[in-house]
Amino acid sequence: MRFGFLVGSLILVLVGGLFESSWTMALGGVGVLSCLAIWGSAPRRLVVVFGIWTAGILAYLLWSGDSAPDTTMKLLGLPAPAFWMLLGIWVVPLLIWPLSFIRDFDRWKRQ
Amino acid sequence: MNLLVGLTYLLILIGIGVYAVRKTADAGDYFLAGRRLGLLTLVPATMASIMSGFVFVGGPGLFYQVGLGSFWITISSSFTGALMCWLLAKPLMHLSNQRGCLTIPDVILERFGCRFASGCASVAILTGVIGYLATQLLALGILLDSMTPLGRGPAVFLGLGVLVFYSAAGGMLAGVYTDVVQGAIMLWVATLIFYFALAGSGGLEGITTAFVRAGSSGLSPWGEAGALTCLGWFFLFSVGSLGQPHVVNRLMMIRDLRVLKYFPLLLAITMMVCGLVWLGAGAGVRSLVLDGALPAPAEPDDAITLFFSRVAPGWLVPFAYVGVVAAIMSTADSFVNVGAAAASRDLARAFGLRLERQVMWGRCCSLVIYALAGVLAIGSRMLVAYLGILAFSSFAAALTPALAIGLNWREAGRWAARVSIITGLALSTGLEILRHLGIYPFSVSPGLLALVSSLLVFLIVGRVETSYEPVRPAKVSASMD
Repeated sequence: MRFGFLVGSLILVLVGGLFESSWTMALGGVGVLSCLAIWGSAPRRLVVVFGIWTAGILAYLLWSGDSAPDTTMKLLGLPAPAFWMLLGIWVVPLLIWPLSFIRDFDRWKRQ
Repeated sequence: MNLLVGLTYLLILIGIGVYAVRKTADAGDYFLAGRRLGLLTLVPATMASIMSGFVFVGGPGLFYQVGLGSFWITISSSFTGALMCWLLAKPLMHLSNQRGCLTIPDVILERFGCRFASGCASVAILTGVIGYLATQLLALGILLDSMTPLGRGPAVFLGLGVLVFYSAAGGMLAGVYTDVVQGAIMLWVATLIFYFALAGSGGLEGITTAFVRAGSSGLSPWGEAGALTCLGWFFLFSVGSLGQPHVVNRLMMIRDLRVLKYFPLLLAITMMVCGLVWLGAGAGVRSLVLDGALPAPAEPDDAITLFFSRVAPGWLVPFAYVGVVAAIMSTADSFVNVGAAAASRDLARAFGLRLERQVMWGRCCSLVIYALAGVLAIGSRMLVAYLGILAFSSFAAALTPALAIGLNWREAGRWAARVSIITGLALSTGLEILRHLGIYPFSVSPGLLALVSSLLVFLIVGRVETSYEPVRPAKVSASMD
């Protein structure tokens, strides 16, 4: 099943890139990262949380780019979309991935 | 003051080089630092080999040019370490400790039992190494040109001379020891640069106000690069990090799997701290230019030197220069070592040659690689960041499928490895040439298309191969167990 998901996700990235569809590429890219993590025996719960979270943030960012929202709304001095980009794709994965790796380390080492 | 701090730093590196030359007894020491890295050496050594002139010089330059969208290149640093451990740590450590593999082409030979695939991987590594090293030399040239009274030519030769000495003579042992020192300097300098960049441009609030007042979209998540390009960078750099030989070969140098427990966390934190230079210096300089407080730099790559000369406090400048030079040199020595191993051991073996005195040949190949990279750096008219993306893409497209999937998918065979490496190398180079000629028809990064194509080719050929050859040779199966 993971083989099919990975191939499908890669095709989505390829189609998104060739036909200039950011939404398709974002969906495929999150799928590729999730499939690779599962292939590397990462905990499935982590992969599901990561997939939903990243897809949600990317969807918000794409929507905010498309709909030109009110840029006067600021969080910590940054425009809201920039803040959510840095928090959602840069800072939060630090809590999701490396901390899950520490938590799961003994199981992974024994496997 | 600049010269004094710079010379002290170079003398320390030379001292470490001399120490490492004395401790280098065999090829295992030269190429894999004796396979005895612990957590406290592994983290700075890995971070310093990733964070290079690409991040410290190219990053602020690209931010100056296309805004926050450029940050998608480095944003995945918070999770790629964990992904790398889950996918690659166990098989690489096993192949290194139990099967005696010293290099990534060794790993491919052992896993796929195919000398041709191993030779193709060596060619891909050499191509990427020369490109990446040219990136470092270009960044070094920009920096030393503004730092010393020597002028660009002699200053580059001075830096290059020290680099050649400690990396070619001391090999990976010298590289790792100097990386620890350089990594510490980089973290300290990155934090200070970020602090003073914000302080000098009115904080995040002041930066945002300057962008909004000028009507610039540089602080939108995609900057001026567009969503498609940014997403392309994000996926290229997050997935492609699994195929970077100078990074993943660090996992072959550890003494015990337990070393890795806190490795992804510490690696992510240190890389994020270095990434602050990209954000701070890039956004700070651009906002000050938009406000009219600074003149526009002649080239976007000059953003960091403009920051040093006009925004940073005087006492910080020599240390900041040393920090950025440390970032450049620490990556350059890793590349030279990986390239020398690919040329002197792996490529020679692919042609059926067996060289005696591997350490001596490794040193000779290092010199040739430096010369070729120097020619490319001088001849290239690309920005540092774009040259870095090109080199990253060649590694990513050629090696990620065989390493990230090949080391975890038992059924994949030698044809999958052969065809995917050739596809990745040919597409990453060919599409980049098309882009350079102005006839590349897509908006998305050529590197991403090459990476996705080579991954697809690997999976499809691997599946077809499985149906024809359901049982792998005994040696290949053993390396997967």
